[in-house]
Amino acid sequence: MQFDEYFFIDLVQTGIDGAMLGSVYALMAIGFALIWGLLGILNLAHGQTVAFGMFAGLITAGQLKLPIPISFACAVITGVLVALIIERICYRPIRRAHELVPMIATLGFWIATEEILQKIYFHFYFKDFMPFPNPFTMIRFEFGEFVVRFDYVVTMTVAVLLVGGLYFVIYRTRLGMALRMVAAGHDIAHLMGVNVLATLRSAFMIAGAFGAAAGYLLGYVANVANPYVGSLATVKGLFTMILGGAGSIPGAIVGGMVLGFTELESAFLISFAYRDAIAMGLLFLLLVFRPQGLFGTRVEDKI
Amino acid sequence: MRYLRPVVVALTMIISAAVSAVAFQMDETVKIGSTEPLTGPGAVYGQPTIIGKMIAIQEINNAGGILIDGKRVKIDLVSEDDQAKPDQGVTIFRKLESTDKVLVITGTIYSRVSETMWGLLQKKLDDQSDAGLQVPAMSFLSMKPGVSSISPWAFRNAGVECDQHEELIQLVQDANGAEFKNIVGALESNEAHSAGAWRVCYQGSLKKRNWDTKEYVEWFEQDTDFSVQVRRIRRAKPDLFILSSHYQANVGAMLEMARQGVEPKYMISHIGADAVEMIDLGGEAVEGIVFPSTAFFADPSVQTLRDEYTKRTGEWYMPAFTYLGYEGMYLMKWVIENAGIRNTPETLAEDRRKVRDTLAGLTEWVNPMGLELTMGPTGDISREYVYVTIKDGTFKLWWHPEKGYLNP
Repeated sequence: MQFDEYFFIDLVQTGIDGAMLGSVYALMAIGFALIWGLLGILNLAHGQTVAFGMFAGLITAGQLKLPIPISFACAVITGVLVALIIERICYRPIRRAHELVPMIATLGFWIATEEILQKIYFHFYFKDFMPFPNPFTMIRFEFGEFVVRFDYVVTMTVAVLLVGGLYFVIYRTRLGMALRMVAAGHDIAHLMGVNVLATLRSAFMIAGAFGAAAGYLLGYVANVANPYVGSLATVKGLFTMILGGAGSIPGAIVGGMVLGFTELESAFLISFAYRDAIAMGLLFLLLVFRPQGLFGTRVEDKI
Repeated sequence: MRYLRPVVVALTMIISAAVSAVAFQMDETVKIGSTEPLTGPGAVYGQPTIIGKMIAIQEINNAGGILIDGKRVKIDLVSEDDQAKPDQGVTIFRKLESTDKVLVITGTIYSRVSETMWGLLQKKLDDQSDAGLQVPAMSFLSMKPGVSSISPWAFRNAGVECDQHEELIQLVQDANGAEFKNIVGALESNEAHSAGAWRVCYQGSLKKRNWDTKEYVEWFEQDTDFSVQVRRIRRAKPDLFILSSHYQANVGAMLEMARQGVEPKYMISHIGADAVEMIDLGGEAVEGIVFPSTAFFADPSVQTLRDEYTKRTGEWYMPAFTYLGYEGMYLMKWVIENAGIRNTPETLAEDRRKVRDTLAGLTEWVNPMGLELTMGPTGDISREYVYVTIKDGTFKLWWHPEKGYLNP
């Protein structure tokens, strides 16, 4: 860090870039928050919806040369399908067991599918990093000394639209009402006539869609796709959810922004080599003083 | 029935011993161990290496095999995937040494894995108090400075890293015709080879010339955002940019440099930049980078190997790792044939020692490219290098020891 004439410009610029990057983290975390809010389990397999979403994007946009909106839709559908499999294998058959059991099942699913995805990936490609199509990668807007990448703007816009859509579903549809009732308590929701299992299946599907969208956008802004992104997504997504407040959708959004902002600002102000250590230290301090996270509230307010 | 179980166990052990025993001279086979990252982030280096090894073995076996104790035997390569993980490498190393009973272990690629595996080896030759493993081991990469000094049983054929960087810095200095004023360094701080190359080699070369770095940044191997670091690089207005970093991060950083309009006069990197992904992922942003290589893929002397590599992989570009794997197996053939071994289960320990001693004494061995290789006292082979650049969307020879500058 240098206190020169560019210091404040770089400080602000880094903050803008961090918030933009954080929008992808937010999308990753929303899937975790949704499932935690409704079921009280950590869906450790959620990162695989991110990985399969990126992989589907690579095939449809990179190999089949489909237009980006169609490719994005294919990726989202893939994420939904993966999430449905997670629900069928890791949650539904063992939902009456101790809450640790489905969590361990999702851990197993994560490891197994990561291995499988790697095998499939290397069957198709001889390289472990493939170019992910991004026609806007070199386009940028300049506002005086400040620069904004166009692909980050696209990512942010998609993230805002998806979150807006999620809020519409939660607060303006019958499914959203059912989700809120299930979040308040499965027994109560059942007594009120809500089909709890169908509602939970829908929640997994929504989570999968968000995961796949995050995977697609991550490949898009980084210009590369790889079969290891599931692990990264799980770590970053869980971190973001805990930071924002377990089970809180607004918390996931703000947590993602805070994580992206903290990562880049700590790199700018202190050292890039300590970026993750600083971010983890921040989480530790936050949990000491505010164990419920930034937006964590009572159970009935989780989503 | 209670006597049956021990009998079955004993029979199993006898049969196992018999089965493993026949995988030696009497079976007309010599076992060589191999470990590389065949999956995971390191596969981009491991796969080309194992293909180079397999092509060489196929050629050697088709030509009759290795001459041992007056008899030609075929090479049986026992290949394992360490996924560039040190803990997995240790398990594999033990397995190859004790269960598979290989004569020599070749691999691996990443320095962090090699130095962990080689930590199992005997530290001082003939030290009776040292219970370390006594099996010759040779990596065909693992470029971190000093790695082969861990044990007298450890060797490398990829050359001496600092020699490459010193030579390249001298070459860019000569090409520039003047001293550099704004030198910027970038380090992949979570990767042992990159960190070692920067601290031991690049910094040593800069210090030797009394050059200071105007800016220095760090990143991680699999980072995706380089905006913060590149802003600092941009402010420094570099005329020489040193990337002690592998292709994944190189590409991300150089794309960001293109976005921010950073154009250093010279950009140099280490062998981690020798990957076709540099071009596939980086496009125009990576044009102009220069890095060292042990074998340039378009050299006529490696054309047969390159054609076979392309046939097997469909890839137009053959990285130097393929050649190092290929050359390494021919080197092993020569060493085994000249070590005077008997290749039997009973003489395995003695044979391993003979192979080690022959490797350590290797002098002016002529490789398949016609260049001479000599083993140094630290277990590193000294050799000549070529320097490669990316220009017009392809790899081109930048400097050759006999031809000089070709694409300055």
